[in-house]
Amino acid sequence: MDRNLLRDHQRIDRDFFIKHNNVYELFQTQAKKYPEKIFTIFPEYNRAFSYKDLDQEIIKRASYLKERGVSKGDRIGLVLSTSPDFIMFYFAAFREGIIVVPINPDLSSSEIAYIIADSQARTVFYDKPVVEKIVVAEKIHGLEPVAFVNVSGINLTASAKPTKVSGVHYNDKAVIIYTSGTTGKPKGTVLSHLNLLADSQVISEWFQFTADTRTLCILPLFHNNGQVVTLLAPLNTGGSTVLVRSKTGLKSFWSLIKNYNISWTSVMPAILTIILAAKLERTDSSMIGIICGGQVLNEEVKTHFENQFGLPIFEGYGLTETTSFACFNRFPAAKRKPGTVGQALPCNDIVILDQAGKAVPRGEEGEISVRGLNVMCEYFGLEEVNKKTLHGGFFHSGDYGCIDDDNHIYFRTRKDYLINKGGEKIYPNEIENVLFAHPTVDECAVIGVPDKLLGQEVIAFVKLNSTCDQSVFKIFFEGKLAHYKYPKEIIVVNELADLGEIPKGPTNKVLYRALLEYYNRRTN
Amino acid sequence: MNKTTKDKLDNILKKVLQVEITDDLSMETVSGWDSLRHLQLMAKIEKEFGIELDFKDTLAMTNLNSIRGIVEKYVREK
Repeated sequence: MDRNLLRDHQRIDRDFFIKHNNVYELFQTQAKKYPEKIFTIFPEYNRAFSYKDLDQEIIKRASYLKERGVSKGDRIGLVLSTSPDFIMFYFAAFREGIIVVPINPDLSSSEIAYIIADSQARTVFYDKPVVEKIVVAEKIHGLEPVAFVNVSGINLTASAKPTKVSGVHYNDKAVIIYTSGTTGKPKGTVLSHLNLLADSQVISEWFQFTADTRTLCILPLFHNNGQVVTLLAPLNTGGSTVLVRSKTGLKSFWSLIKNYNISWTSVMPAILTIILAAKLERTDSSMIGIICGGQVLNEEVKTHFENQFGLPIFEGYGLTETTSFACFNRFPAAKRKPGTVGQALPCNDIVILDQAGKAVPRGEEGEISVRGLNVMCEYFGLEEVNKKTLHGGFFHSGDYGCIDDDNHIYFRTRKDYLINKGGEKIYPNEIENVLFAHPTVDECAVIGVPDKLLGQEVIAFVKLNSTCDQSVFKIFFEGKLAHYKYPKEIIVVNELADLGEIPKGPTNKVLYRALLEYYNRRTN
Repeated sequence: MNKTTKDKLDNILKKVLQVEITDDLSMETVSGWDSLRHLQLMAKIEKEFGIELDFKDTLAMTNLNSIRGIVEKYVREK
C-alpha cells in the first residue's frame, strides 16, 4: 500500500497489509473459495444466498447499472431497509466503483430529498414501503434530473451477461454515510474502500472470526456499524450473516441466535437495556460474545446483562468517521479492562489532545483524536468543517476521554453532552450509572439544561417498571453521588402523555438532543 | 376472525401504537412503530391471547393484515 496516496490523517507509522484492492474483490475471493457456502440469510424474506448465488445477483445488478449509464465515481442512493436488494446493489456498486449513499427509509420525504441533493446522487433505488415518500421527494425542486427506480419493477433478465470487473482502487470512495450529528444538517461522511477493508479486517482479526463465524446483523445497513461489523467483518473470513430489520428483530433476538446458530452480534447499549427489561430468555449455546458501542454502556447494565445471560460484552468506541470502531476491549473476555472502551485497533492510533492540539499527559482528559486507515476521507462538500475536524494529522472527534498507562481508553462523553454546573464538570453517564442500579429503573438518560444561576442544571429522564417517589431516589443517591450531581428533577417518562418513552434513533441510540428540546418546550 | 378476537386485537394495537385502526396500518405508516413498540406489541398479543408466537411470525407481523391473519391462526389452533 502506497502511504503517499493517503491523506495526512490516514497515515500511521507502521506497515499494515491490506489483502484486497476493493470490497468487491474481497467478496469475489470468498465466493471463489466457498462458492456453495451460505453467506447471507434473510429470515423476513425466507431467503438465503450462497456466495456463488449472491455473486450472480450482484453481477446482474452491476450490468444493469452499466446499462443505465451509471459509472465509476457516480453516486447511487439506496432508500432500502435491510433486504436482499440492499446487499445486491451495495456490492454491485462496489464492483463498478460506484459510490453508495445508504438512506434511512424512515426519514421524511424532505430529509431523504436533502441527502439525495447533497450527495448529488443521480439514481435512487427504493422499494414499496417508501413509494409515497418518493412521490413527494421527486417533485422537490432540484431533484428533477434524479432517476428514482423502484427495485420491484426492475427487469434484470437482459442484464444477466457478466461484464468485466472494473478497476477499483482501495483509495476510491465507496460510501457516503450521512450522520445526524448533534447540531445542524446531516453531514455526508465519505469512506473509501480502504476504510471499509481496513476496519472490517481488524475487527474480524480482533475477535478471531473464522469461516464458521455467523453474525446477526440487527443494526440497520444504512449505518456503518451494521455494514462493517456484522456484514464485512465476517466476509473477511468467509463467514456468514443473518440480516434482520432491527424494528422487528428485537423480540426474536434470542430465537434468531438459537435457530441460526449465531456466534456474534453488534448492538447499541439501549438494545441490551431493552432485552433486559423485556425479560427475554436466552436459549442458545452458540453465542461467543456481543460487540457493543455507539454510546456509553453503563456498568450496571453491562454487569446485569452478563450475569443474566452468561455472555461477555466487548465494549468499544468509534464513529462513522472512523468507519466503525477505532478501539475495543481485548478478546477473550478475561483480557477486558472494565470501565474502558479498550485499546486502539492495529489500523489506527488514538491520542488525547488539549484545545491547542497538544498531546496531554497519560490519565489527563482531552479530546479523543484518531488517525489511521479507517479514518474517513472527508465530509462531503464541507470544506470548512473538514478544516476544523481534520487537521494536524488527526481526526478530532469532539468526544472527551483519557488514556491510561496500559493504553486503555476511557470514554467520558460527547463534548456537547458534558454538563457544566457552576464550573463543575459532570458526565451524564456517571449519574445514569447510579440511576440504572435502582431496581425500579428500566431506562434512563441525563441531560444538562440551561440554568440562570449555575449555567446548567442536571435533569434525569427515567422509565420505571414500578412507581417510585423522587425522595426515594434522593436517599438512593446518598454516598453514591456528590450532592452537586444530584438531578434537579427526575422526569418519569411513563407518566408523560406526550413522551412515553426515552426517544431513540434508528439504531436505538438515545436522542439526548430530543430530550433537551422536549425539556425546553415543557418549561417554556 | 370473529368479532371478539378482532376487537381485542384492535384495542391492543390502538393502545400500544396510539393510533386509530385503518386498513393501511403498517410499520411504514405509523411513525412510532419502532423496535421497542414492536416488542411491546408482540408481548401484549402473547399475553392477551395466551399464545406464544414463533419468531418467524413476529418478524412478519408488520401490518394490520399480517397481524390479524397470524393471530387468527394461533387462536384457531388453541
